[in-house]
Amino acid sequence: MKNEESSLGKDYKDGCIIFEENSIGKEMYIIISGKVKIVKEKGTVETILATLEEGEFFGEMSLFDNNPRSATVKAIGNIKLLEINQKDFLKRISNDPSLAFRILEKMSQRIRQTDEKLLDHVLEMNNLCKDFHIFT
Amino acid sequence: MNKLNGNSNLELKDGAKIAVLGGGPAGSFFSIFALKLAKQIGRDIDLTIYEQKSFLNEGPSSCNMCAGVVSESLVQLLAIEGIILRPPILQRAIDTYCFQTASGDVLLNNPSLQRGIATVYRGGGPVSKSTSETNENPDAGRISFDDFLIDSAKKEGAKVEKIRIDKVELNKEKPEIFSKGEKLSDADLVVGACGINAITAKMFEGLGIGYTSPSVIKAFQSEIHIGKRYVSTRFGNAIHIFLINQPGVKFTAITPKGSYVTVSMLGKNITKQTVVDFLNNPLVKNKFPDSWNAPDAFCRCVPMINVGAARHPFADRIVMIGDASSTRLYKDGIGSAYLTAKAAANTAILYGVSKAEFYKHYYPTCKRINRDNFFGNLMLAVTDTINKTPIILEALLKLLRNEQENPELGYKCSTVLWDLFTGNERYKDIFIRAFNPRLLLRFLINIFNVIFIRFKTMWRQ
Repeated sequence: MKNEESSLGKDYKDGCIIFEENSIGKEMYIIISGKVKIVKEKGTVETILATLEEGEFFGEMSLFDNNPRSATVKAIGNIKLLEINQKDFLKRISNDPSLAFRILEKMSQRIRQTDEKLLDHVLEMNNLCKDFHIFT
Repeated sequence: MNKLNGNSNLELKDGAKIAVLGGGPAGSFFSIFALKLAKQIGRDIDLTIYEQKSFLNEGPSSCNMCAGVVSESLVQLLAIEGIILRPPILQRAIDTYCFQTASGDVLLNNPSLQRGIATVYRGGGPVSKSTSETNENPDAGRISFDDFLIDSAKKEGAKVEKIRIDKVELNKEKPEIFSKGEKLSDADLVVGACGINAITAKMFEGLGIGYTSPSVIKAFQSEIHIGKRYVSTRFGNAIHIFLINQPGVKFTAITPKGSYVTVSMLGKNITKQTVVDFLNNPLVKNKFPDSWNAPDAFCRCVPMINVGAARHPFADRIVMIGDASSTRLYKDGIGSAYLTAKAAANTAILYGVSKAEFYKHYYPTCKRINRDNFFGNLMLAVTDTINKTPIILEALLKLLRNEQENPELGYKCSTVLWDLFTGNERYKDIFIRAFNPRLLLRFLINIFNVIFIRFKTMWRQ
């Protein structure tokens, strides 16, 4: 029997890796307190794709498509996460499909943000190409 | 006479008024989900919660009186919905049940991750809260679970009126609500989230819609202050269930919560003296600090527990939710409030507020809870019989002890009991797992074993 006071959820320390890119995962996570960063690592270069805060979730993609994790997630500071496994999650969605509304809403927002970033990059590339042509 | 029944084309249009009677979890959940969904489909809804209580004060007068336990599965569901529960709203995570018997303790540890439970205060905490302890944390003043939810509803756009609605009339096109004989407003939808302790539930029975509030039994809750340190060292993160024979008492448990322990008792005619007698039982006293004596005064309340379903919990422009409708037997009342409130909110916003729509889209949720309670009743009858039969109880505790000491056996019996006590799973699922042939065989072997040992002891004597 543990005596120290604890609350629901799992604690992670600063810099701790919650999961790594290409690993197999059957859980999604909700941030109870603290922040995490979603990163892609190539060699020693780390590119931050997004920073998520309290109340936000991640890892949900693997629950739906069963593919390996698309990025690495690291704790920024000490954090607490709530972990939800795939079977429980799918059971709940089948009992109450409206539970997926918020996840779909967030996923839609992320696709929009990705579209915007992609557009910015394409425009930047086009400008660079134009500059290159003028220069040559 | 009710002239509203039978209309199957009642929709909530822009500017529609919703009156939610009761600001407990069911009322707040309904308000949050209805307002969110209305926003999502671009509809402007005018929603008011009528709640007389402030949940920030200490003591029973500002508390919706229950043991205050939430399952991890509910905390997860709410987190997915964007309602994040964290300390100090969540008081303490429970990872163990401890069965206290005259022949020793049996620990039932949480058999897996994600099946935990946590404790909450429904109001501002017990009377005579130690200020030195509450001052340790600047947020400690806002520990009320109900206040947190009503606050979340306000953030979604709900208005809150500290008024008690004492009359609803159905003799016009829309229901009208009254307070102290004065008409306050009419409403496109009246939501009865008034629980079963309130007189308001009786008010709905008089409307002629066929509504009958659920059958109830009385429980007795007491908050005993022993200080945070002793709560940690003596009770830890465990709910203690005392298997002792006390006349008139059916069930007793002690739940650690902040600097208090909550003593929950079920039975006939339980009084303050029954609690004091229980606290003075040597087995119980042994758990408290040395030289500790049961206090003369402590915060206590006698809440009702819903043990049956309400009849006709909806009509045109009226819907009853939470305890006033259907709730899980003895467990997870807050979880049932979430389920019924969400189903009612989805129906009202997406389909309409007629009796026909509530029957089609809301009632199935109530029926699922009621059907599951049938299995709950069966399971509780079985556990009651086990509790009353010393040989079978000893065999069960032996089986449990064996599983806890030898994880390779699997936690079949432990998970059944854990889920039965915590309310993390549906009763039907627990029932199916409990009647697993292998588990029953092991249980039977343990019963024969206990009988054999008893005969052997008698023979020797």
